[in-house]
Amino acid sequence: MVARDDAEYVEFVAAVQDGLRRTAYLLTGDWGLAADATQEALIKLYVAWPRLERGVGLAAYTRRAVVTLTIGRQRRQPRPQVAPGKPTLTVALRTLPPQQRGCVVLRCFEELTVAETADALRCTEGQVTGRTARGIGALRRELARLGLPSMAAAAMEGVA
Amino acid sequence: MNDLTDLLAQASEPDDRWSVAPEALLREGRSRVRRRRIVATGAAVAVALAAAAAVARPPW
Repeated sequence: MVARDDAEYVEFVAAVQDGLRRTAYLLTGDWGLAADATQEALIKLYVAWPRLERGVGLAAYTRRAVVTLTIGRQRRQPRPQVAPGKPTLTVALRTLPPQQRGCVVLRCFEELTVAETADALRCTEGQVTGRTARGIGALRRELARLGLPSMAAAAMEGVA
Repeated sequence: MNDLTDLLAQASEPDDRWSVAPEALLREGRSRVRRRRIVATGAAVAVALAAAAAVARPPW
């Protein structure tokens, strides 16, 4: 990579790292894993940088890498046991299957379109729509079960 | 989904000031690119040597 690209890379990393780590945290429920996935995704981005389109291509590649490093790994492993503790939204999120969690986080937190979410999760737009609806429904039920009815009600707002 | 968006934003509010130095990622990235080049060059040399050895081998 030439020096100009290096400068662009440094600027891009500084701009996106915080948001990426927050997304990774919602996907994993663990700040340490989120930090690891964010760093690894950004290193992979450097390696792929010369062949990526500037703008949307960079963001899409980085997002896909974070999703693969978080949800992709969980898909191949048994679902983690949720540690007992204070019930929170992240605890409820972790009870969702990885793909549903991905849809809910990318659609509702990152506010991606259905097409962008499908690209990040490598699935069809129809699957994104179905998984998002099922994920929000399951999240609402889990929040109610955890004794967080106000959050459960908020989770239903705006769901068609 | 605005309310859920707000809830998720609150839930992912970091409680620390973590940040990774972009320069450190840059160094690691450069190192990986170099390693990949070395592996690719090594593989190409191995293929070339195998081809040369096959040509040079006597027919019996």
